[in-house]
Amino acid sequence: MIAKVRLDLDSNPAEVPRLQARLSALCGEAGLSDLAAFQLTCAIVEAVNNCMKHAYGGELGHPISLLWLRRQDGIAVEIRDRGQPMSSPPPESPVAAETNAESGRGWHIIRQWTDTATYTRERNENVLTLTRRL
Amino acid sequence: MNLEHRTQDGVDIVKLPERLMMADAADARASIKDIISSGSGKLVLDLADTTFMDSSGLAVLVSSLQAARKKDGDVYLVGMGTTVRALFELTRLHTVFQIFDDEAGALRALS
Repeated sequence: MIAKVRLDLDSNPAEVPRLQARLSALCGEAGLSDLAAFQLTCAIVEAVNNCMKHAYGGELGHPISLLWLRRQDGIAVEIRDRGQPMSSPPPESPVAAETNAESGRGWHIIRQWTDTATYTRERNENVLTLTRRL
Repeated sequence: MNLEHRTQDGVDIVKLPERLMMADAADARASIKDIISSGSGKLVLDLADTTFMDSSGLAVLVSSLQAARKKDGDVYLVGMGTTVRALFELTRLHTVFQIFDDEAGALRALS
């Protein structure tokens, strides 16, 4: 059983499909069901998309790192970037999620498909830690 | 983005790729909008091969729906697997789109 994996990528959306495939494999190795694997992978992909779109403003060439931690009771994923700090995660907005607006679903997915989502700022880095119980 | 596209009985049928994510969202959006603007506005999107989608992919579909309805058309979804279906249910988009098990059902409803 792989307990700890570090994944590095550039702030380029073209790298995310490769990340998604790797995360799906890690979820499978951790014993998650197909549905749980999809949900956790989707939440992590949304968080990484946010790093690219918001922290780095769509600029390519900036680092994003993920630390995958398999614990006895679940999985924790720490996502780090060196972009603009986030003032705070946007408030949950179930109304927005129910409309046919084009955007505004990313944080809803992150919150609903993880057990905790904790944001901190550490030495010029944004650190978002997502956890999901097994 | 090259999307598999054909027309049957005045309905455009487009097969979506294995993944519909931020990386390809702009291209997919443009391709589908081109199909809608040059067609009847009635569109079936086949998700049978689509195993992963993020919120950017969802935005492509919502944008397509809005474009189709401007032409008095509609977008029907077919072949959706259980995981992608879970994403639609979480985001409540299953209440916005008409979703069918297969293409034949969607074509009957659109005709």
